[in-house]
Amino acid sequence: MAAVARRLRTPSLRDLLRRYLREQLYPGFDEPDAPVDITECPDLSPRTRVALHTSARATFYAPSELCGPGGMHSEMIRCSSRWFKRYPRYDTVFVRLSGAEGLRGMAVARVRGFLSFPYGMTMHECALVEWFELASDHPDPLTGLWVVKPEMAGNRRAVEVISTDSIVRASHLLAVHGRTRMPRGFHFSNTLNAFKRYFVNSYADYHTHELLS
Amino acid sequence: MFLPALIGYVPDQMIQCIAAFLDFSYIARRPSHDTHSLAAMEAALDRYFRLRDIFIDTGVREAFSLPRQHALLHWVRMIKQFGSPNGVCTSIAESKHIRAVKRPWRASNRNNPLVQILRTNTRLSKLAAARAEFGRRGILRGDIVSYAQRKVRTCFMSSVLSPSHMVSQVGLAPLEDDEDDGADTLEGLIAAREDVDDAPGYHAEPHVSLARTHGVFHVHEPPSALTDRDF
Repeated sequence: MAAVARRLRTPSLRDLLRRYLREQLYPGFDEPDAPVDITECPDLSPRTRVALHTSARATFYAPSELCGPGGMHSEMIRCSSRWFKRYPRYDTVFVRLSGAEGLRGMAVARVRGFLSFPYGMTMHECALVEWFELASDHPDPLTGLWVVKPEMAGNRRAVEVISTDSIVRASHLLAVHGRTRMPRGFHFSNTLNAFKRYFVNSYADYHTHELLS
Repeated sequence: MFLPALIGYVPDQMIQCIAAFLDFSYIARRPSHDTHSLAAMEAALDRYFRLRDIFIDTGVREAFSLPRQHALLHWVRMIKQFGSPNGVCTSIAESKHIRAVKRPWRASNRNNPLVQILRTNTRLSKLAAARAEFGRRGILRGDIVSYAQRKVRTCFMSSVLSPSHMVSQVGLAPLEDDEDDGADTLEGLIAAREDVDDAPGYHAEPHVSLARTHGVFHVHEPPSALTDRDF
């Protein structure tokens, strides 16, 4: 776990995993957004073997896409520090929320790593994500796309460990450029770090459009 | 579709116009429609036709007598009548052109080809029809040996199972019924396909599974090396 935490640059990984365990083992016990003290979460040994996966496959029913038999469609979600040994690639995903708030009951998050670890008799599959939050309550009047911004906790990104079962599929964010010029030599792999606001592209494919409308 | 990339480079109304058109075409692509989606389609089309004047105002076009854009008006009614087009593409008709025109033309001797092409197509469709009919009657299953085996087996089974031996001798004719799953025939194939589509629970919930391979990182240091820095 220590090595994974170092690699993900998340020293609080153990606490995050413990909070995740509480959420998984006692679903619906806490009020959403209610602060939970870490001592009330299930304990997890620091020597737990945590595996770090660099990709996951999302499978969903999307008959309007080019799809397999019965309308099933699948895609890869990547979170790799050196994708094809070239540049970092961390995809964004739609995460199902418990309520109907947000984008049709979903939120946008960026996956930093897919993790799996044993606890009790089960193998937990989860993802370390950085949250995005809606920048306003209504879509952008010009394009009709929703706008999100990175959610901050203090001066750092808000991170959480979520179950892979709550991930719906990959999403596509487009930067809100504004009027400023791009710096020369800007690499596209930094796009999801650099901007203050992003459009949630509902025209990425037909299924996304169906999800968001 | 990188629509926001155009912001600031073209008039705002043009972006709204294109967004309305995109909404229309993305909804049209859906596999099934209800009153809400059709209403949304009509609303998007309405917006599009209202906003597209910007192309005249900026001098891109002089008029909109474009047949394809006019055809958009008929989409909603046609979907109500005939169902969702579900991403049908004109290139399907294009690929039919190969079988219907190009191959028969190659099969002809290039002398007065039209008559030959028509005759080839007529014969091919008759053959296809005969094939479907033979398949329906169960003639096209396996070869003559397997047919004989089936017949013997059915005969044997019925002689064992039926109470009267007299009946078993006569009971040869309805041999297809017991094991005919119909999968060889065209109708059978279509029925099987529909079974798949309608199977309850087949349309699974979205599901995410991790990659099979992963790097395992576990603590190599002695426990004393686990400092507060990590936790």
